[in-house]
Amino acid sequence: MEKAIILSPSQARRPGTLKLIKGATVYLGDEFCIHKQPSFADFIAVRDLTGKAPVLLSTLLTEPALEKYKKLLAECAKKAPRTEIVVNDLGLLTFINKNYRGRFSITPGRLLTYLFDPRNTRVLGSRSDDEQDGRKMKVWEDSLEATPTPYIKRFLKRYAVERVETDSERIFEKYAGNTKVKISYHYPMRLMAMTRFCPFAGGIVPECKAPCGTRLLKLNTRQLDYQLFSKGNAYFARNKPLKHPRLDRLVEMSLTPSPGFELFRNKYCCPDGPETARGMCA
Amino acid sequence: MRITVGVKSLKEAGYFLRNGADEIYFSLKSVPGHRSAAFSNEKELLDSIKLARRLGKKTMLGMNAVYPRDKYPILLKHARRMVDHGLDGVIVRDPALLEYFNAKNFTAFFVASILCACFNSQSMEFYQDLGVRRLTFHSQVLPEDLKMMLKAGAKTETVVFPPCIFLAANLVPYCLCPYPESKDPGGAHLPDHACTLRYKCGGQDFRMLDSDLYSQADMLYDFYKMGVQWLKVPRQLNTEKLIADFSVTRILNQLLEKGMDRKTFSLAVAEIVQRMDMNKYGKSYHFKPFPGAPARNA
Repeated sequence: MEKAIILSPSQARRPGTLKLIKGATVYLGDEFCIHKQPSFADFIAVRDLTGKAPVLLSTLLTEPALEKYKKLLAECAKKAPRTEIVVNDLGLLTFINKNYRGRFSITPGRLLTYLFDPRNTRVLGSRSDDEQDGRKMKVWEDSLEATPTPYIKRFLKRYAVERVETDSERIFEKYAGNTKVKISYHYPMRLMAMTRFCPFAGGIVPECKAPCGTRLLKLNTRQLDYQLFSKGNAYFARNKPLKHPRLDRLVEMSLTPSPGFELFRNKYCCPDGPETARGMCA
Repeated sequence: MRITVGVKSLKEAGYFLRNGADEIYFSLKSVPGHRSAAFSNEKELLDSIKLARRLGKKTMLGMNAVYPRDKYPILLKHARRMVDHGLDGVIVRDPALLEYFNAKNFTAFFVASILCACFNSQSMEFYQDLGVRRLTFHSQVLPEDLKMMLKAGAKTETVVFPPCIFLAANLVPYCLCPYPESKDPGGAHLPDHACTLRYKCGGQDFRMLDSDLYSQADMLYDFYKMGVQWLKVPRQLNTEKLIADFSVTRILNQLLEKGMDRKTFSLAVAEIVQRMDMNKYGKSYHFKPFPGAPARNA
């Protein structure tokens, strides 16, 4: 089984990175942050370092971020055709399909597979005993919100998809049981939430030098029955390891457990301004 | 801007339509949408459509969940029946369902839900190719980004939520935390949304960030100035809170339409929202009946 490691452009250029990579495939970019998307120079730097073209890892792209990404695509299409791109945005997928069909290897990332299977995303409570887990799983199955597999199959064919990604065992099973695509699994963290209000940047920022790095923060509260973590502009829970004959690639995040964190707010979330009423979400 | 408000009863429909709403949207409990606040019987729903038409207002049906394939014919039948009775459009999130509707030649006025996660002009195009003519945008799509999207993309009607009544700490549909007091695993005893809880990180306090009222006021001002057509007040179980959310939305919209300048508007938003103390109405997911009505009639 292939191993892959996610590195942001700045991490990839740090001294000692080759040791960290340990022969794994490099995923260059970020699944959650528009400020950690690579340039073509970053792509070349990693290819020179490892001797192997990295996989481009993309996120949900705002319009300015998509404009930047178009430049990367144009250069890659010319100078590094068939580069694999993990796509997490229907817009990016649409753009590649219209302009570069067949010029890249397309892998829908975990955000896209979640988009089709929103109910497959729930994490089970860690405090439950086995019996309760069983009952909870039944509730889960009963309330499953899952896109029908005939549509998924058409979608994969339409966009010439060769591989999909997930951090959910149930989504993995769905693709393994119904399709022939290769499947990657993200471990040891599974996504719980993402935001543009980045705790490391103090909110939404137009530019960012990624002060978050690889820091993993443990968030403690007695009110959740699972351990929540903060990394960059996303929140995670621990993921279970997966053993499956169709598991083709294991994707790991580079993590540095961080002891503490002093939260600050930028001008979008200034500490002197009144806060909004909380308690409503979609 | 025009105001669309989510309702769950004929009484709510009547109240909002007669008090300034330009459109109501809803689901039927037996054909559920993404939210649990829904009409319990079809007759009231049809009467609400009738009332809206009589008052010259619009109605939209929320079908904004991801449904199993075997429910598609029921969904189509339900949507067609509503359209035959005067419904103006259908709110959808699921590309598979839109594709099915197209294949069955059901071409209603489709609205993309916030759950479609449209953050750029190309994703707008993805949904527009499926027949979507109005798109709902997340509060984390900044006005400057939306302006660029709308310039780059094909013409569409646009919807935003008033940021000061709608928490947007995380991005839907990628907030996967259990819903409080829900049947989701881990949700039953959860007192609130994960984004509202207070955490400790090392020795420090930690909260998931949201924008402050001044930033939210600026956003709303910019959305208005760039010509966003619709403000959306989300449906909820708590009718008292829904009325308060609608009231704030209406007041702020009136201030914008009077031509108030950015700074004065910003101060007004902070003053009004703080004075109304929106938190006193309780949680949106706690059932509270129409003020003065017995619980079962709300």
